[in-house]
Amino acid sequence: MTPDKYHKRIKGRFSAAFLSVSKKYLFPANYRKMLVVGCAASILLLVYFVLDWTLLSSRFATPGLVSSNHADFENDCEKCHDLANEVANDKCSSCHEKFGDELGVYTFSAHYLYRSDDYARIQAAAEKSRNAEKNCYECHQEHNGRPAEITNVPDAKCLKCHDFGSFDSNHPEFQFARERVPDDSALKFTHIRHTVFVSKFLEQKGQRANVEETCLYCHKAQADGKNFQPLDFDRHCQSCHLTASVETPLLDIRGASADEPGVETLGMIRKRLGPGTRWAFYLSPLEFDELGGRKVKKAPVYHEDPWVMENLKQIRKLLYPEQGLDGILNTTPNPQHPDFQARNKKIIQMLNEYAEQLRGRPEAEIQQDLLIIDSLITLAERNLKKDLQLLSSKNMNLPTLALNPDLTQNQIDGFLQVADNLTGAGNGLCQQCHRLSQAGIVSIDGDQRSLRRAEFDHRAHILERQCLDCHNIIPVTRQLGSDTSETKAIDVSATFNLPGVENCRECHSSGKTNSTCVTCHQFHPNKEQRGNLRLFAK
Amino acid sequence: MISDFVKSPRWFWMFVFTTVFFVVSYAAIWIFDEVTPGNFWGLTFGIIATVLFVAVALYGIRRRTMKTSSKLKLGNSNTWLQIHLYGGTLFLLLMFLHTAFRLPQSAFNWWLWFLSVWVVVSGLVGVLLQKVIPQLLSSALTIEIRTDRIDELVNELRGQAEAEVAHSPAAIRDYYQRTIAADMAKPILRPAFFKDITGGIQTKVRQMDYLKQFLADDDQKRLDNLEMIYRCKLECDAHYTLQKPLRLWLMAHLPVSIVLFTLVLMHLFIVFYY
Amino acid sequence: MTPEKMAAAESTIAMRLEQFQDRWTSTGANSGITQIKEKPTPAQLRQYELFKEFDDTFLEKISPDISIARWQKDAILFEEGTYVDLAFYVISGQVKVYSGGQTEEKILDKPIFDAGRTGAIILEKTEKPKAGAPLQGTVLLNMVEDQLKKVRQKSSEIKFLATIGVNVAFGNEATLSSGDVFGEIGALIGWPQVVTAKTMSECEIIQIRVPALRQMKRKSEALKNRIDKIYKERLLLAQLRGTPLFQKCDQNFLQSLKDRMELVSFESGEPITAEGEPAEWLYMVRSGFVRLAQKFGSGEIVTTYLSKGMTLGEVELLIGHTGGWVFTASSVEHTELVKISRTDFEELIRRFPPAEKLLWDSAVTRIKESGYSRRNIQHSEFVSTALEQGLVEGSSILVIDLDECTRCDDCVRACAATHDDIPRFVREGNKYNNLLITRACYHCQDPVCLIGCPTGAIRRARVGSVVEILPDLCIGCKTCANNCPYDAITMFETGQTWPNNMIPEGLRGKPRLVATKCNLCYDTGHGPACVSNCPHGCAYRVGSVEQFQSLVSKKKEA
Repeated sequence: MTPDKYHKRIKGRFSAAFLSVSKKYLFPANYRKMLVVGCAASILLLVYFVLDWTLLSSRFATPGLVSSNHADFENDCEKCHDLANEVANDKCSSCHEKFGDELGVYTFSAHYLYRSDDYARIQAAAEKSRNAEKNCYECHQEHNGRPAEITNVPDAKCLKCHDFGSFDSNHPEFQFARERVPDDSALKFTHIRHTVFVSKFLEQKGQRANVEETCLYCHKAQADGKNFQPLDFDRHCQSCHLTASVETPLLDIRGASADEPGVETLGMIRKRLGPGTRWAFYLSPLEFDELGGRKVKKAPVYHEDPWVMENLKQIRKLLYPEQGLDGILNTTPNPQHPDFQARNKKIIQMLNEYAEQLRGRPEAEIQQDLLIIDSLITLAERNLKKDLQLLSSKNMNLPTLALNPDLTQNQIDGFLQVADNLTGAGNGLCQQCHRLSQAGIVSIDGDQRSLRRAEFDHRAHILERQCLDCHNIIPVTRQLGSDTSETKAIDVSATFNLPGVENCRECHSSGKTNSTCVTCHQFHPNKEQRGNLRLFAK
Repeated sequence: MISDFVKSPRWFWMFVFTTVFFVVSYAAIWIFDEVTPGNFWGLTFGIIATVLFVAVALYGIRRRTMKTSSKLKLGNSNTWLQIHLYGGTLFLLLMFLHTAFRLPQSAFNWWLWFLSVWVVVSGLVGVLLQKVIPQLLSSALTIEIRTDRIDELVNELRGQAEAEVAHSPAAIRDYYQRTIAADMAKPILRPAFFKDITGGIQTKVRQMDYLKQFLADDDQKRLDNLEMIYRCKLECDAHYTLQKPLRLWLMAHLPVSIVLFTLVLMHLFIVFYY
Repeated sequence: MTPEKMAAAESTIAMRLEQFQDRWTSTGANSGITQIKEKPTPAQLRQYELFKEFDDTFLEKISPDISIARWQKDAILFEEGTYVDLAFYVISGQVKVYSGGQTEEKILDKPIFDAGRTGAIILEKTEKPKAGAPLQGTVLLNMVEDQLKKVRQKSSEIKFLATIGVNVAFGNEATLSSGDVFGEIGALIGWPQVVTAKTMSECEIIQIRVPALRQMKRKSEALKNRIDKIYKERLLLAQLRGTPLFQKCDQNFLQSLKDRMELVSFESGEPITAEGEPAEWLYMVRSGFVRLAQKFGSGEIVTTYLSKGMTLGEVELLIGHTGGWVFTASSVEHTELVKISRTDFEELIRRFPPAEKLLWDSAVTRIKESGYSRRNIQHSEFVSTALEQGLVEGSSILVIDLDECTRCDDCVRACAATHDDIPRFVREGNKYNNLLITRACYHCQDPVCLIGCPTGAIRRARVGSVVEILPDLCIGCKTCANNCPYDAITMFETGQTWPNNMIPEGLRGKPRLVATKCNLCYDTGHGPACVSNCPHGCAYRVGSVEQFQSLVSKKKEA
């Protein structure tokens, strides 16, 4: 054997190494150290976590402090949380109002129903939403720290269903602005003339009157400053209109047959003793002036004069025998929804009977009650209409009633003439301000509110804006001397004088003031609005 | 071109594709809905992030169970590393998507967020180190040593140098004692090696060249030999210095990742409990 | 012999004696040796026919590798399928050699070496010859013939060529008696035995190890002729038919040629040709590598190398007016070549145009290579390094790309984990550019580590497969570690000590060292653990110089 024959080819500078052979080589020391450090730290962390969870109520593990409203029971996790479940709605309603039943404020259906009186539309949506009840926490998120406002729901939550982008980008035009719903088409009112008049009046009284003060002379704010009290004849108009000097023209007295159109005298009404005629006994015959038993006139004529109303009612009964509703109502809606027609009819019938009983009483409080009943019945009546279910009656389309087929055209014309004479504008009577239609006075919506689905607080805006900054379509200028012939054409109450969404965007847009959804809208109806809900309750 | 920077372009493009996919899907969701950690989309991102995290953490186990892994044919260590790197980076991205790029609100969540970022960033730093240092080492060094032998090797070198010097004239001996002996004493960690991997040999070479002219032929050969030994020693030091970060870096990454693992488990527990 | 060498020889003898006895026990072969005489004197040796012609000095030199053993009856000398590095010369007695027909099972089902990586031959199962079919000679000859038909005839794929020392027809047996030699070719070429040898009576046998054999073959014409004759008879034909050069030649021509051609061998560094000397021969390499160099400047520049199946001398013989040998050819390690005369060469090219074409192609390639090397020093440097560092030898060299290696040692750890916590290589070695050629087993095509193991602990795992070390048999004598030119075999301290009742008395009480080397994880069912456990995928097992070169150039481009 000659090893030198197989010479070592690898000539390094170093001698050969021996192999590292221990088990420790496979798992080197520094690696072990790192693992030990890591595991030790983890174990400490786990121990701390467990202690914190059991003793400190997870102060460490909580994703954020509970808001100040709920801070009282911050350490009482079970008040809201359930093991391995999401926060259930029952937990919220243990303090907040119970949800679940139809009238519940916090239900999803309430969200739909509230604010809208278009029952047909709501019905379909309510069906869909019955099973789509949302969890409270989806919008109202806790654990965001003490100062978090839970009710200040971010836009993203609303935008999941209402895909409008944001207020400044895609929010639709307000409904009345979109449809150019006029302020009041049932009332003939010249804003500019009246403003000029009132301002001069106030000046005479020694009060300096700029336009805004003039506006406020009639438009009185409600107690909370949000909106304005409904306009009222007695408060706002009586001082000038339907004064004692106003009287009806001489009108024919109604004959025994329908061929002789005319009005009923007080005596005739008294003799009739029909429902809703008790008032006749309280009217003074001195107000009437009969001439030869064939003509009669009344002076003075009151606002909502019962004699005039009764006559109109009788004429309507004659002309439109199928109107189905008589007595109180000014308009005769046509029932068109057989589904709930019965229910609404029942309501109406009930209210009618109640009103009938009250009608005979002249006391002021009773009259007030009657007004309320009126509005309720109006509301119920509107439900029977097929479209356009605004709370306001401004857009009421008077259905065409069927004329009595037994009457001749002459007779019909005659009676209509009587109705016209009874309420003639030329005489300063009803039609000076009201519209007569189908022998009835078209009712005026006293409720001044146009925004149905949002809240608007006038008081909050009054520092930044004056009335005419927003209500600037009717050109009531600040100079108040602009009662020119050009303005006459638009100086009617039927003018649309409400600002649209662009007007709001001047201030309410990103970068300026609040433009979140919750600034104007509410998901859950507030207490005032619950009245509507009751009507829809099963 | 990509293959200059990454070892496996295939994995890289898969990673790019997946990233783009997630980012695009996030943008799409953001348009139609919102992403919060608790809602469906956020949860999906979170679950994917967790799965990724656990999967890439297994890499550590793969590396320490070589026998079993080879036997069970679990795949190359290199493949596991690629998955670990790209999966880990995706984990960070998904964590951001899960939280919808919002900063955390509570102490616990801060720990979670911060440690995630720390672990991934330290991992990426490690990748950078592992890319740069080996190339630096092989760029200019002629020998390759194992640093666990360094003490023994340095001793050998010193022995050789001293043997050489013992037979040398006084000039060389003095030069050695004054300038080189100190360096030969033990392995030296010198950060300057990152800037000059030759360890400043130029100066010494110039000095030795100067000295050579005064020496006889034999002694010149001795000086040359001494120079070779000294060069060798400097290269050992260079190896020692440059390989240290490769070992130490892991200390910033591994223990924290274990703690992060625990935190993630705790987070899962909290989320599903409440 | 100097006193020091004498003392060394003495201790070697003592060691060997003990190891030798132990060896026969440990291989599981029935220890049939009743008596053994190591290092016989020249006088003792010269009694026998085989050694008569050698002089005393020579016999002295080779005597450490010769022993005379007395075997009992019915003892198994070696079994079919084992590797034996001994030749046996029967002094007295009878030995029966037979094949039990088990050879087929010893063939691998699957390649150990991945053919794509190392280019190893894939041995497939061959069928037993049908009953009644004419027997074509030796068993392995059949295998080789079948195999060579299937495999593409590239030199890098002709790695293992079979031989047995005795012509044993399939299923038959032969009896050998006084004066017969057997096993020498298997020992010389390193192929497993295909017969079992069993003593029929008490025998006295001379056992000669490979180094002595090789020396003897060189020294003794007679022995050489004898061995060559057998080789020529049995296997040269098949081998020739397997080479690209002689593929298309007809049987008759080859039959006649093989009798005329010379079989020559050279040791490490020995010159085969000298530039400028007259060129009258065509050489073809049978095994090993030949370095071709040319005068360049004041020295010689390595231009290219030859491996199995390639020819030397075609340039000179075909072109004619080259002024003698164009190259100085020398042997890298142990090389075996065939030498063909000019006349035979002329006949070859005249009768077989494909052979001529091949020779012309080869000549052109050789000229191109040499020209290229002379003008591109870096290529010559690469070739020289490849030869120097043994890259040509290795069929699976572990190369680590240092540009990506983070020195995490996972490769070594994986090796250790797979093999009982003891790593089988060291992550150290020479650097070539940015590639580290580790000191892990190269898996040489002609492994020298097999030579001289006293206990048979180092051996091939199966036919044609990796060389492995069985730790149970290893006694830590460091022979294989010393043999390995690339320092790929490492000793490790087990921490144990040999018990006090060890049969080799010299080992008693000493710390137990064991040799260990890479075995390509062949028994694990998965590939080499080092490669698959490198996290950066920068460990490569390189099977050929071309693969290494492609690794180098890949980096250069990057």
